[in-house]
Amino acid sequence: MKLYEIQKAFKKQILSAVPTNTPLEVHRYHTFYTLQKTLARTFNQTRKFLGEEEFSALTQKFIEESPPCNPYLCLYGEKFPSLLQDPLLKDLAVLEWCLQESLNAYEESESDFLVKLAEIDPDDFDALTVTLNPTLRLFKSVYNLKPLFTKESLSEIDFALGEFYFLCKTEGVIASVHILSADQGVFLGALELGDSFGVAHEKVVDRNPNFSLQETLAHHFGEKNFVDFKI
Amino acid sequence: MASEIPVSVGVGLRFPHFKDFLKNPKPNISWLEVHPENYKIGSSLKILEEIRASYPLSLHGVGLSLGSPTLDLEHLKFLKLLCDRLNPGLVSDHVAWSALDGHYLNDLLPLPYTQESLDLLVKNINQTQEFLGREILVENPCSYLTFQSSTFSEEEFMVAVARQSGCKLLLDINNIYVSAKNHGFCPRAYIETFRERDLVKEMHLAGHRRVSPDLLVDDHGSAITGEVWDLYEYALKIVGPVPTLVEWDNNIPALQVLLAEAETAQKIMESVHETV
Repeated sequence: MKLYEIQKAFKKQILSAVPTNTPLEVHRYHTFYTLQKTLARTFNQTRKFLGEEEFSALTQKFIEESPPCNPYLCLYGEKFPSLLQDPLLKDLAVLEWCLQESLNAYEESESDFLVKLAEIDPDDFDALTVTLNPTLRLFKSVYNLKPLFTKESLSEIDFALGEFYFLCKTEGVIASVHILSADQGVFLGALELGDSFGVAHEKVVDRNPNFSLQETLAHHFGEKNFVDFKI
Repeated sequence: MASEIPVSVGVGLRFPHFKDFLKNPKPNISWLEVHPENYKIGSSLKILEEIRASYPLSLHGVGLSLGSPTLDLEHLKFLKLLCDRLNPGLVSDHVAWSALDGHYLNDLLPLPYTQESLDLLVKNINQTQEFLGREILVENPCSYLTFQSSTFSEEEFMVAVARQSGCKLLLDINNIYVSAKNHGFCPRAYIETFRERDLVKEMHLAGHRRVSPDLLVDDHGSAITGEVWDLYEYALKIVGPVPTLVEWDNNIPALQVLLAEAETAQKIMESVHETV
């Protein structure tokens, strides 16, 4: 048998969630153990509310159907939320994946954003498009997911539906999730899509005529949420 | 900080010990080893660079999959980037495979010891060394099964890989012990193969677990056993003193426990060196 045929047969057995009574079991067990541990770390809150048994069954199914496509465990799990039936827990899992992506994206670099911006004529501000801090991840949900990071039980949480925007960001080595106002969420979402300050501002003013571009920009400049711009 | 790995004992740097290595005074250990695949996270790489400023570093990969039909060029580029940023003293990976048809199985899977496997490994090691512009080391695997189709013993295969590719060897003493117990061969005879061949440039030490009367598993989750210490002493006499690493990846203890294991290894290395 050629080597490739042997490897294909190994792969098939190792990616089976059912234990095998062969010497390959050591490898099968180790593969599932490590990947399930990785998913449990990334989706820690989802796991807590889903329960150990269901989380374990879902992660086994996920590993069988979607094994890693690269050697980096930190990048594994992007499609896991799609396996969840409960829309609230699905959104929570997506938010946890945003946190993981934010953490992965961190790269220390000195931005001269404000220095460069000082040279721009204020009349040209409306035409500026910005590059967001690479660790920012914006997520919108009809649920207020933030309490799920601090509460122990779903019964402790009021799940009134609404329009909730979350911003994941990594500072130093800590990734954290912040809740944004709807105006801020729409504004940042527009910038993320490549809209200029002016267009993003118009989108928010359509919803809230009192929205202050100046205050918003001062906030984002202070938070170092932009790293570059172009006209 | 110099990049050369000293002929002394280092430890595997794992996330739970980051804070110990960031504060002063720095832990007393002469070098560190990391798995490059864990540093795809930018924030972790930043910390590693900070720690690297105080210690020589070895990059020990688990994801190159040198026994796969082709290498992952994106991963090779990432390794090159780490080499450029961290200037490691040693770069190593395994005589094993983990990737096939675009999927990664996240384990070090065995190869039959045949001419076909040898040719494939030599091709992939050559490509890696050429891409990185440096020599690499390859580690002997821990084995739970053997192939009827093998035409080499594992130790002969390791020597052939090194000779034909120009790479050097990383002897994992715990792997030799565990494989010897699982398959019933003499671990000292295995090590004897490497006598005075100048192929072995590093050794690894770790703990293992007995899961059944006739099966040991290399889980890096406990202290090094007396039998492995004895085998390490024997290996030092055969291949001479080389940089040695203590690995502990599961049930990771307090750093002091890991450093105590390293100190034991250091004493063995010094006592053998004095005798020789």
